[in-house]
Amino acid sequence: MPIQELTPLSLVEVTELIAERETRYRIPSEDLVQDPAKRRSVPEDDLAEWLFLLEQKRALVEQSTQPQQVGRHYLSEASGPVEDRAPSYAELAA
Amino acid sequence: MQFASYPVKFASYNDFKSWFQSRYDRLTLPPEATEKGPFYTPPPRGAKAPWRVVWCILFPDSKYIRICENYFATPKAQGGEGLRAHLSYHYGNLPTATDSQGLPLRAPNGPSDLRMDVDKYRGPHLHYGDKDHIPQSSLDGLDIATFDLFTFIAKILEHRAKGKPLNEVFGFKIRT
Repeated sequence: MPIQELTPLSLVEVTELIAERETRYRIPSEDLVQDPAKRRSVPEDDLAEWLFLLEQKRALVEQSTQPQQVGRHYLSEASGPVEDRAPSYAELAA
Repeated sequence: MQFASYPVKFASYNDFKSWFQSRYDRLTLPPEATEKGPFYTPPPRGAKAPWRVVWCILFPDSKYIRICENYFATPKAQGGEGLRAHLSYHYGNLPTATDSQGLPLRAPNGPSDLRMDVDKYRGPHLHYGDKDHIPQSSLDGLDIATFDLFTFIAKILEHRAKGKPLNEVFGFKIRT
């Protein structure tokens, strides 16, 4: 099966999905980060997805506060020169 | 978050995709296996983390593999690379429920034959048989934090083909 790339979510969509989880588990996201007992009450896969959504929201908020030209610069830098790469997954996992 | 304990990282999403594609192209699954995904959730914009990959491999005997990795950005002062902050590699009985993408929906904390997890709060741990949350410190012969998803799949396929117990195929022992 070919690898499929999903459409990135908007800040509104990510915020809605976070709110959905807060309602489902009756846990505010802040408590999820700070309270180990509440965190343990969330199934592991759901917790991972929830934390990923929070990270997506953080990145989206951060990007939305950057001026447009800075955004373009960020994009051009993103792929980075080869010599600046971190050690590869394969190298580290070997 | 203590990133030092999760050493698997990529400079960018594009680097991750190149690595994944090259390993994926070399993977040979049994003809009877079917796949859901791999699905990438790309970074919100550009090539910096976060990004995610989820992938299921289904077998006709109602077993399945579920792979999930989440990459978060390291702080800018540490280079802003995409670091594997979460992984779960799961092998077990196929649940009947599916999500909106058609991926098997595991019952909350449902059992697994073998499951490796790294999460931000619990750290690396294993679920094996009827034992849950076995910490890395209780394991010999297996380093969960640096484990490779394609190696996980290969070892599950070996277990299925040869009928060898999972702890032997993966080479780990649980300290008592």
